[in-house]
Amino acid sequence: MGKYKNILLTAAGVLVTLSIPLSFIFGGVLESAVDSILHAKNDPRFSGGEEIARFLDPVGDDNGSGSYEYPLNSMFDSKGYLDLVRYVVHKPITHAPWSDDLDFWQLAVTFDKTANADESVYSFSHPVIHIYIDLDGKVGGSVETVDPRAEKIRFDPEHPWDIMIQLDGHHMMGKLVSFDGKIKKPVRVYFDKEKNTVYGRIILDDQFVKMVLDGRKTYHYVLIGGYDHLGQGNFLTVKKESTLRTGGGAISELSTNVFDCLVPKGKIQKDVLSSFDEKAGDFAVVYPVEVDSKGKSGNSVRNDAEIARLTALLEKEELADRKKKQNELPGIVQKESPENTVALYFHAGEFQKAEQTADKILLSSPDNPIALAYKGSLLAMKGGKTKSVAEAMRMVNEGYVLMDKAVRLASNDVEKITACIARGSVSSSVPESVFMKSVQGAEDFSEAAAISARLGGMQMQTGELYINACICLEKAGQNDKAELMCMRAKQYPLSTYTRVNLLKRGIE
Amino acid sequence: MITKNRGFSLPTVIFLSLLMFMNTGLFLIARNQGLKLVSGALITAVLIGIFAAMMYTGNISRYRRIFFAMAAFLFFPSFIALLIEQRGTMTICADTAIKSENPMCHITFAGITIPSLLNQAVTYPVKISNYFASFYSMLIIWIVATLAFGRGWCSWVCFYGGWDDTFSRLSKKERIKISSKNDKIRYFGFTMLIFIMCASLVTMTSVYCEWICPWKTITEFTPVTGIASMIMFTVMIFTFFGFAIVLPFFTRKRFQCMTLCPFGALQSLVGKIGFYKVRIDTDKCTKCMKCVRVCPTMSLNEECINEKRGKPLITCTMCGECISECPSKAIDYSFRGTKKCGAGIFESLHSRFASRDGILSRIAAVIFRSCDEILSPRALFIFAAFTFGMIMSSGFGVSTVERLMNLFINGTFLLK
Repeated sequence: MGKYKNILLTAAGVLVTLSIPLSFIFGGVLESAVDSILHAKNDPRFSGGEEIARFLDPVGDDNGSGSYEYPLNSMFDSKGYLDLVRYVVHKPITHAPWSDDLDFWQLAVTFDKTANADESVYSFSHPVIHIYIDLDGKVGGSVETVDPRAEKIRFDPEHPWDIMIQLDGHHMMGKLVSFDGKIKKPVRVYFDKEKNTVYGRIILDDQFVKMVLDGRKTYHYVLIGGYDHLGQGNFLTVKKESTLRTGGGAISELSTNVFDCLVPKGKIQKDVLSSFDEKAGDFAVVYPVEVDSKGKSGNSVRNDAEIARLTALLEKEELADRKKKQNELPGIVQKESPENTVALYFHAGEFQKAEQTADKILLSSPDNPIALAYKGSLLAMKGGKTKSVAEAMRMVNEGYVLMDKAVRLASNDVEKITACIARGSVSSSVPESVFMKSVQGAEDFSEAAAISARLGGMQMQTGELYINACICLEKAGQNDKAELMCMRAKQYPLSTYTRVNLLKRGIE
Repeated sequence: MITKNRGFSLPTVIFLSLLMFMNTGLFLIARNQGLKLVSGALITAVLIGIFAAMMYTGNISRYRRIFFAMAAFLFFPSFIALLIEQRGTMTICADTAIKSENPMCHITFAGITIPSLLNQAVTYPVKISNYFASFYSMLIIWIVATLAFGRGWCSWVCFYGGWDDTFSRLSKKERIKISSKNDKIRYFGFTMLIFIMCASLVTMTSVYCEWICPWKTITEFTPVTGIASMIMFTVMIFTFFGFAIVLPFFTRKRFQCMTLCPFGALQSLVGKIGFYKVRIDTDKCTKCMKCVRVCPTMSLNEECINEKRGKPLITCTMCGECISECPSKAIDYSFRGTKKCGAGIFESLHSRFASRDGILSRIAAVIFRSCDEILSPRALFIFAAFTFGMIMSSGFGVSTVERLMNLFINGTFLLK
């Protein structure tokens, strides 16, 4: 008995010893496994407090009243720098740990893109953010902006603002002013480059604490302009024509300098920002979004009945599409190139024929990216159907070798799109805990979507590709980024697939 | 079990060193290029040298100390440089907390485990996954280490422990002697653990990390922006110099680990489930008390030896000082559940062949002896602990050497 116990213990000792390097080698897989059990998240007190409101704004609407153009300055080398995509209001926090301030109230503004073009303090140089807040919801405060020539807008008379917060990347501190000028306070600015998010932390003290904490409902106007150090209220001026120092596309002297703003449900930004009255000489009137400090606010919607209807419709559409492709197949296959033939077979669900055709192509041209992409994809699919786990892993990995090669060798747009979609599709279906390919999948779909958008033909497909990128990012746990992918998808004509996925995520 | 002066035979040392080379090669050399490859090869060569010497001479304490000091002192320069490269500063502040991107430190578990479970969110601004020191990765490492060797972590893996371990051995004699009346000081760590757990529960944050941790001095510290941060800074400097350098130097005891570190105390408790243990063969013991005097955590006393207890106190960090010091070879590593120190599965086979003539019998005898040695608890423990420590800290060691080479060649310690 003693001898067997000894042998058993020795075997256990060997196992324990071996488990140490193995736990590091397979650390990623173990992390995913632990995550699937624990779903750990950070205490929101460290990142600014619990979210009480989240508003999404469409991507690509940084064109003011519809026609605005960025300045011709090389700093504005790409769209998106003034494109507000998300505004988040946090619950005021007291006795914050690991913070410069004990009590504060955090607001977060996310842009589609950010860059540091002129060595700004906080590494985001393009936008200036003005947030006007009606704290009590009662009539009082002001309906004019702090500087009448800055934004060139007026506020909803129902909700005159009490405080204004300015955040930009150029000043060490943001600022807060009250409508009567009695309160002037610095606001801490933080910036997360990876998330393109600017955080403003309003230090809560004295009576101001009371004002914020007491207000059950607050009303927020979020206005985004281009930063101009010499501009009125640091707002870049928008004129009829773009110049190096001014934006273009204004249709009147009364046109606003606001490139993007948050509008409440039922309002359209273009209409709101072009609502100036030339006869009366009044600026456009903007409307606030409502934030309920005791509940969860935002512009997220969920319509379960519509989701169910669209899901059923999607199933029908997919079935009909596959049947149509299968019926058309015999007629068109012979006329098509071998690469197109593989694609046709693949999308019609004729996987065996697709693989045979891909093999034929690879026999004569082993570096053909399209054949490699489909062959890799088919191998991974086969792996997914295999019962042996080891065999499945081997086949999926082999598939990735081919698909990686396809992406690497793709030299034109069609090849790149095909290779990216093939690899992305596999990445979105394989288990994340084993392969950890979701982020790569999202990158593949994003790249394919960017190419598709540039080519301009299949607009609906572009939206679908962004939705797929969103699904991959959600799988990787990057929900904030996933949300932005949905907003990108929303820019394009919506297919049923896109609509149902947007609705599932509360986006109308 | 057959040993030669507590060391292992040459074939055993060669075999285990080759295995260790495969390990280090995999983690420190493979996939590296340029300067990193050179520094990886350099560190690997040093580590294999230390490991082989430890196994051959049987002087665990001396070579473990060298290995441990190397891990500790090579860790912090590259860790600081990495922080500066990633976020432009080695300070921990709201900017990093907002992003919840701080690296996870094992010591934090002592304070945050209960608050995090109650809060259903990690009460420390740490990156949760996909990072070299994420919450998940450290959790896995902690669990594996605990299951393997419990508090052995404190003498083989902890990249901070090398500081007080080294300073506790710099002085030849105890300049301040802790009398046996005061030996309960070894349990002060548990008081600290209870205090930290309660305080963390009340504040729902890691009080130790924010207010006490001495290691922030050499990793990421809170910048002084007010009275509170001034107090934090002062405590940090005081605990670092006092507990990690001065007291260990004068007492020859690992004061920081013994009295201040809540993780050490936590490991003592949860480490009871660990597979490897230190055992004392009280029949062999001559009660010379050398082990009691040499123990850096005061985990051995007369009671352990005289009353046939057969094992050190709960605070033992499995450093091997007592094993190397014991003249009667009465102390050794063993598997959980056995009182005997050795395995000796192949002992009879070895004896059978050793008594025969002929070259084949001799070869068989050598093979069986090596098998017996390799599968002994001591060899397996040292291999496991050394591997763990190597993987945990030597990546930073490689990075530090690479940075030093970069400093020499390109004039900068930073790589980005």
